[in-house]
Amino acid sequence: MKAFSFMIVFILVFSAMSLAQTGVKKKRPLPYEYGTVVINNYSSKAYMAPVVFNHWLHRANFTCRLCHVDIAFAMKAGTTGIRAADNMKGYYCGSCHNGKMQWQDRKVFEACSKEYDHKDMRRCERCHSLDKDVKREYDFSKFTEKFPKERFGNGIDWEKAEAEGYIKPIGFLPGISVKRPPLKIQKDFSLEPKVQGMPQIIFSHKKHIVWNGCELCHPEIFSGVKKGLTKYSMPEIFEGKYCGACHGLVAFPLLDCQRCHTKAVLEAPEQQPEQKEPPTHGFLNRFDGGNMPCPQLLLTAH
Amino acid sequence: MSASQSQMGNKTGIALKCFVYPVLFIVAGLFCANDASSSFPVAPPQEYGRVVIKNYSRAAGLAPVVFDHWLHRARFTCRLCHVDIGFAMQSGGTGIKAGTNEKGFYCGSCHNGSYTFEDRKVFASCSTKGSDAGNPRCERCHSLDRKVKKEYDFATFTKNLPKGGGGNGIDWEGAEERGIIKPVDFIPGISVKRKPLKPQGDFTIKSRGKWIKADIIFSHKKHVKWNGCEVCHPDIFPSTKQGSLNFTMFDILDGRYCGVCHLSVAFPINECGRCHTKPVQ
Repeated sequence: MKAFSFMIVFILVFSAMSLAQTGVKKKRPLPYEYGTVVINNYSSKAYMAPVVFNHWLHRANFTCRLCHVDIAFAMKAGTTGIRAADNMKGYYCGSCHNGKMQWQDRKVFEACSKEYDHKDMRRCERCHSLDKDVKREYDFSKFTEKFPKERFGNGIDWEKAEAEGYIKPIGFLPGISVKRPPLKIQKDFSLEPKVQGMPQIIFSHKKHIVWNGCELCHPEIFSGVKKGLTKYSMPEIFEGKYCGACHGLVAFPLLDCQRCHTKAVLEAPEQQPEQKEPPTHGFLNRFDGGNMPCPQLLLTAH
Repeated sequence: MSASQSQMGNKTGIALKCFVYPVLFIVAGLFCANDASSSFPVAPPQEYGRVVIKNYSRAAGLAPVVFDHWLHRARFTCRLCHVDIGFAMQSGGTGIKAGTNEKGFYCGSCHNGSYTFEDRKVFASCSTKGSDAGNPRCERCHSLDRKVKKEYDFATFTKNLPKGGGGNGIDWEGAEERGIIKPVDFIPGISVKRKPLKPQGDFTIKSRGKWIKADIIFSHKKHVKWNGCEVCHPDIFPSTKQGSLNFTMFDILDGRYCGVCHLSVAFPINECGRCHTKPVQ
């Protein structure tokens, strides 16, 4: 019987391997498709079309932190498990979509409700719209017409769009958010890539905290605030872990190597940089007495 | 073990041999069979790389699209279409719609009626406006099984190109080296220039087949010319660490890894000696 069970395991593993289509090139999502989340935890069971969530529209108006920390949406499709009842109680979508919140001189439409008549069906379809011919209130190309353009993803340079005043993402929701004094920002630092010849990665905390605060990435995505505690590699990032939690789904995709690998390669990579006192940076000193809290191999003060 | 028990064991063994194993193999075969490219493509030079796109054509009352890959590859880099424009690398995998072309994506990135190439305007692709129905322009692409005279004839177009190898029978690399083709890598309004990364040096991949006495020499330098980094990484080859991706010739024959290109558009996989170049002592 051992051979039999071995065969079963072998076939299951082999078929799973063949079904997982790695090593292929799929189409790159179109700018208006990028970041779209289809939510179907309970919709089909409730005889509703699955929800199509336009991430681009929400990210243009709200910070990442507001929805993924204060409102606490997961960052992987389907893992929040939103129920109509949760929304009705004012959680998740219902935090804003409660029929009361004012947004730019208009009331935000109410999300799910227990009682409804046929007139309300159109409201349901504003979200429950997969494979339905629903005219969206906001058209991507019209909405983003004047935004500065970039390569890949939504095709928008969101950072620049904010700098130029096209978008002003809100980071505070009365009744839900609680303000804390901001922590001092750590300086940019560089990370040594494992592949020789690749330019170093320059990571900017300053750029990341604008929309994320501390809480979006720490401690869940990057638990280690001490050097070497969190070890990760590009394949893990491609799987959606670490940087891949955003970059690849909603932020600029991983296809764009040079946006992170920006620092010129050292002429003699064999030479070990001389050991210095661990650089001291900003607020993190309070936690570990000055040890550089970098999750990667080598770190140089930039 | 008693006699009856061993008999039972024998019976299970026979049942396994005669029935369970074959069934399991068939099931495994069904799981592993992939519609991507299970049969080895054999096509005459002018048809090699041809893509027939029929996601929505028939439903719209049009003939499926016949796309001549050779004509486009002679003029544009792989990267331009498969990264900047974002075409999938499996026929039918992009799911192009007329409306999407009309908005200026996919074919409509160039075929928009305003893009100029070599002193002529590139014809516009699809239009969803009713007045355009039956336009002879439609048949320039929607031409499967139709008697359409193509503007570019393969034999005439490739007359001056250096010949060699299977596939299209063209030495594309040599054609570029001699300056006969100059594939364009930038479309204004779509492409964004990035500083090129330094290509890694050539490296050897050990051949696992005992019958083939040559290792593979892989040249990043040759590949980045038309592909940049982004055609292959991270989608096709997610890992950049040598040896961490464990793929075989079977995977390649299945249209994955090297087989994404070297089965359908680049020099075909039956030219063993073009990759297996390093003799093993």
